Amino acid sequence: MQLSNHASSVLETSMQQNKIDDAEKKEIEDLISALPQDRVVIYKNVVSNPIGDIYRYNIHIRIQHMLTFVTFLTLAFTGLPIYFFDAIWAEPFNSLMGGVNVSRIIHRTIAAVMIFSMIYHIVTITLGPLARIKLGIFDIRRTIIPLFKDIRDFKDDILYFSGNRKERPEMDKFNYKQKIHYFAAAFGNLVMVISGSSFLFPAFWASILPDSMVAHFQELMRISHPHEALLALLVIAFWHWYNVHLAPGRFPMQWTFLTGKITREHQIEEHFLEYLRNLVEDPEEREHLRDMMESRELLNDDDTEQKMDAGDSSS
Amino acid sequence: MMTPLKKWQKVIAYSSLAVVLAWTAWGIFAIWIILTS
Repeated sequence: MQLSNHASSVLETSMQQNKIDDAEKKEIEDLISALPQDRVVIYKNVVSNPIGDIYRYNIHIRIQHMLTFVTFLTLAFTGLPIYFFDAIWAEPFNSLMGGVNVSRIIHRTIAAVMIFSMIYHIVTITLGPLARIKLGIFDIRRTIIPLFKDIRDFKDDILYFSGNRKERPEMDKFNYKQKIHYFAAAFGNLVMVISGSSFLFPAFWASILPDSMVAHFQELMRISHPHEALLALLVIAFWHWYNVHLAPGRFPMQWTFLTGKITREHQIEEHFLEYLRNLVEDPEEREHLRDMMESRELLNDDDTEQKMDAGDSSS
Repeated sequence: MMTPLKKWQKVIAYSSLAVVLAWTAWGIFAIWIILTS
């Protein structure tokens, strides 16, 4: 496999950061160059455990995802019937909770847990990269920060899915789709926290805003809160759940949020640049890949060919 | 090539799928009522 300039640069950076010696460097480069050029051939032939092969999310991120999804669903479950109280579906939900007044208390308590989860996340995503910078192993391409390459990947993926490109782009640990989703969720959370706090603490917001803005702000927040909630519900149900439950290759469920691991197949298909780093960081993964590709006779290995040639001539 | 799910993994995966599909159905119903009432 001939790597693109970008992929070569990712590989080179990873080898430098992991202080890979020349012998190991040659082993990695030989393995990659012996792989088939078509990534589809690689990921369709590797053996994957559906609950995950390769480490992706640490325990903090998994706890935050768990907190976010439990609080989000509970907030939607209690909040929407409060706002749309006269809709026919809302009354049974409010009754189930013990009435609107109880729903309100549950809603505000769970909102506090969601804010805690947000703060926990901000601390994690600040301290993690700071530690990596200190250790000299930080690579911005491995983070969720949007880069120009994401626009190119987006364009290339559209070309691929419209039949105008041979293969999907080589994407990083977080691809363009995940970055859009992440920042949409972050923006949504911020809108919900600001608007929610304006209902609970109107005097505080009135004290920090110019007099001419106070009434308009409250009105805007009253519109934003339920409609952002509806938007989030739609995004989660039709986008996120499609991607993690129904998409081909993920059905019936992607296990990463529980096990912290992604399947080898998925990593090679959608996060190939991260997979290159996995090959650098994990000698066992290299061995796995080599064994699997060799067993399917898909490794274009010069050494193997030379050995076979030598065997043929000696016989 | 994925190895098949074990029985307990199937139980978790399919019940989780059932929950999200039920939630989606509720969401669609709720939004439909909101938009039509």
